[in-house]
Amino acid sequence: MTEKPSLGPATPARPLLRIEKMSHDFGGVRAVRNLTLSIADTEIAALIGPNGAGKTTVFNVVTHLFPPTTGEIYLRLPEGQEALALRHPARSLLEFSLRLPEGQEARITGWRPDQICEAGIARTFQNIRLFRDMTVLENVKLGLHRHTRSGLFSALIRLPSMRREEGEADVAAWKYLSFVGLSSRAHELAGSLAYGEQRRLEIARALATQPRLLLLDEPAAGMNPRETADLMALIQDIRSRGVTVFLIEHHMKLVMQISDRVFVLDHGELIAQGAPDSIQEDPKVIEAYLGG
Amino acid sequence: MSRRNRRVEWFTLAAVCLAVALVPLFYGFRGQVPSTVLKICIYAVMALGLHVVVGLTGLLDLGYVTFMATGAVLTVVSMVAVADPETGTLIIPVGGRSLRGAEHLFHFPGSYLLVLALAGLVCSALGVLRGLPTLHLTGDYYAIVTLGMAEIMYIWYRTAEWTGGPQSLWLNPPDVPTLFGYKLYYDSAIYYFLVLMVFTATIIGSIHLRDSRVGRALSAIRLDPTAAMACGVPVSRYKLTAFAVSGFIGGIGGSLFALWSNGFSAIGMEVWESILLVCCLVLGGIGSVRGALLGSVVLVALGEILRQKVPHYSSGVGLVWKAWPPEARFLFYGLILVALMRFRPAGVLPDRVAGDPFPPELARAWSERATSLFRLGPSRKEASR
Repeated sequence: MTEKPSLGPATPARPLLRIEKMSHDFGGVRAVRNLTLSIADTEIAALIGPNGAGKTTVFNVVTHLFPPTTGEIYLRLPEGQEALALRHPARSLLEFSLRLPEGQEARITGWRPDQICEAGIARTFQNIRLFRDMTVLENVKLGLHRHTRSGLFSALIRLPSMRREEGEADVAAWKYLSFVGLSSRAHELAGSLAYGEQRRLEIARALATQPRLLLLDEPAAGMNPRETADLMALIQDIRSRGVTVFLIEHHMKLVMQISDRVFVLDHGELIAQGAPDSIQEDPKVIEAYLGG
Repeated sequence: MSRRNRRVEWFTLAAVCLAVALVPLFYGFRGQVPSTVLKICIYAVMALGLHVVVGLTGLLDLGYVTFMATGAVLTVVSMVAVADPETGTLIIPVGGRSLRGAEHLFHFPGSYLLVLALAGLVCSALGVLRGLPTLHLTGDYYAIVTLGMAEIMYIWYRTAEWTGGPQSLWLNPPDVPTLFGYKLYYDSAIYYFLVLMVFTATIIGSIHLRDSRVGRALSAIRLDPTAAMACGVPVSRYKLTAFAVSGFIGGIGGSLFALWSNGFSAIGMEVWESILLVCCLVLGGIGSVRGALLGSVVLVALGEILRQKVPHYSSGVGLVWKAWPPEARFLFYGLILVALMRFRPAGVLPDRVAGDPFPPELARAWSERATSLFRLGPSRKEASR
């Protein structure tokens, strides 16, 4: 795999996310095979491929909804947050202390999903997973969970500090909603929103976790052309604020217009990576999409 | 829930507490009515404890009676335990036996409050212990495990020597704990107001919990554990928190129940009690505080009514009503639930969150407020790197 000539820019020098020789098996089915890729800081990267190529599996493994069968995932922790790695499982602690001189990369392979979220990776889901019976605002407030403090006892007796924090969380959540354009729907039920709005709400909730890397799983699925155009602007806006975006998408126009780098997955293998225009001409990609 | 609904809710609950406080004005502290009211309050406390796990976190707990039994047995055992006058060893007089001249070890000023807290804390620990191996179970599997564990505890309490085993442990007058110099008899004013206080505190706590960050996280776990994890909610820790809170309330409820029933009998702590509490929640609407109260009122009152030989007509002529056997009330509970599932599957008072339009004046106010919680992209420190 490593011998394959790369068509695009070389792997970034200090990647934000690095997946190394990662494989994932479902029983006998090898969903992802020996995948190695790096995402650079503040780029928009896209992962494309035919249905069943294993794209969502990559996201699920990165956010540790299930562990990789083999391989490792590394995330560069922001400066001043290296201590985060020390709070996590002993395995990572050992690994981290060994790796410390080389750079601020933490091996996040064994971390729990909420720890990965805390480390700065947020995601949306292909089949929208909102808390449908909660209001739109409450959904976003859940995204703020890690950034608010109040615990059980302050909740039970409703300490003033807790009320203040709730008020602040309301305002912050509403600002995230304004950012994705849902501020006027704040008090409606998440389940009552239109499909495209639900997708945007999921993005707002993910942004509220204040990630450095945002994983979007088919954000444009089921959207009409106008909504898609808005979404493209939104994604570019998110990136311009310094958040790295890694997205899975079938909508080729969107992918080719906004991404800096495209990874093509077929049958669990990375068959090409590079700038959008070079990908479009890659014979392997054309074959994978058109069949051969 | 919208602001207006919340005000209505507080008003209803305050009215309920006030009504309970006013009952003695009309009925005194002794007799059927205050006794039933107390039982309703105690069951409502336990139903609200169960609500934390079943209603908020969304895990069906069929073994809640364990906490009730543990709280009750701890209370009774600590109150009847005496030091043997000759050897000085600890004795638990089983079967209502009383030892003359023996000294009660756990009777000192404020001891009942200590026992109450202890019952809560032990049950809290029990809840966590029971939760640890079951953290990854959901749905039916979790329900089955709780049922099984409750059965184990039931059998233990029924056979162990220190709990009185199949016999009962009675609280004789000298055993009854004292609070502020007053004996906490089941028909005393001080006991009545103690229960009322716990009842009120539990209601307030339940509502506060529901409307808090912790309650939101628990609801998120119920609605979608995967999404909750992805939002950064440490699911296991929050489940354990829920088990601890639920156990704590159960232990408190059990302790108060022991005073109400003036003793402990393992036989009364069968799985039926768990089912009854679940029924209270289902009847009122799972996830609703008001529902839990309504369920307790209806089911406990019905149980007490069925226990009575209510309208006792003159003998020999026509229909003579007799008291039903105690198990018969479950027949009625079953009927009620069947009717409920047919006509109001979400319960009588479900906590339905209604969507509201967002008030524009609030939008104006919020858009002007700055908050450090709103941050897009890396922090300034990081960006300047």
